[in-house]
Amino acid sequence: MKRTLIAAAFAGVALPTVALADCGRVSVAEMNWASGQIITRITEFLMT
Amino acid sequence: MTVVPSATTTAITSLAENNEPDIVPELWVNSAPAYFRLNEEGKVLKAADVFAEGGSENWWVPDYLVEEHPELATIEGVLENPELVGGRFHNCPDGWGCRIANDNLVEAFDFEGHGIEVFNHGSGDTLPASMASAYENKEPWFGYYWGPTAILGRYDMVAVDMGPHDPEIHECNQTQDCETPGKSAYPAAPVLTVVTADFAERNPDIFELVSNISFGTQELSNLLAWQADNSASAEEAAVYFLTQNKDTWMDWVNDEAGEKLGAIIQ
Repeated sequence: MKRTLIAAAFAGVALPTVALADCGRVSVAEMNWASGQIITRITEFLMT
Repeated sequence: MTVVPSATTTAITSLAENNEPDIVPELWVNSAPAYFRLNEEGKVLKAADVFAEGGSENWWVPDYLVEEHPELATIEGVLENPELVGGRFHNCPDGWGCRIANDNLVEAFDFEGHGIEVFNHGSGDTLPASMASAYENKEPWFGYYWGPTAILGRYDMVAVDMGPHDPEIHECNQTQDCETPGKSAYPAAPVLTVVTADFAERNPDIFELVSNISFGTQELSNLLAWQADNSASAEEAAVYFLTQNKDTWMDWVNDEAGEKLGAIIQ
């Protein structure tokens, strides 16, 4: 059940990040530990 | 957008030498002192305290112990009642920064004189494992940990009040050959999102957005615990956060982005 929910939620946002071209090239660091990786993913999504 | 795999030292070195990446989230600046110089020179800007309450390092005891024995919420109470915490302090493994500080604090608080044995963990895996095992069995536990982390999201641990933080004492405690170890709590560690000044000037909208992205300690610990419990990827954890906290992030983005993103995350 949990996995299904995750998969469903994930499918919802796994859209191509189309708007990237609009804001030019942006480089974002991704730290090599759990919280850093999640924060970079959230930032990435919100920037699109 | 380009995601650049990084870490604390790598990121600050790259900012100093190459003025990139444009955005560095979750930079623990106490461990990257060059940040302060670059910030003073106007090369990099602090966009946000990405951990609203800072990172935290503490000594902890489980909540069920404190419910039974409220005196265990302070270090004095622990020292007077070592048997209530199992007579043992769970210390960091060799090679970690916290090991040096703890070794000095253990001396300053005279653990030996109070009958508290120090157990030096052999690896970064057994330290949280010992906490988990104690908590699952409702046994005594007393030791060091930091957050936000998955394990502090999973278990209700109480930070033992170690008294005030004294910067000078703590600085000495952080050195291996500190001659006068003293009593000082750990400071809150500033954890920032840092952006190059060039980038901020060219992209005020993005700078404003990343300035708004900030997490509470408990919020992030819970998210990390959810990720660990579900063996989820960083991307899945991000999606979980976005679906569960729409009100939070809708406040971070501007109206236009809110409309667009709001339609994707229902």
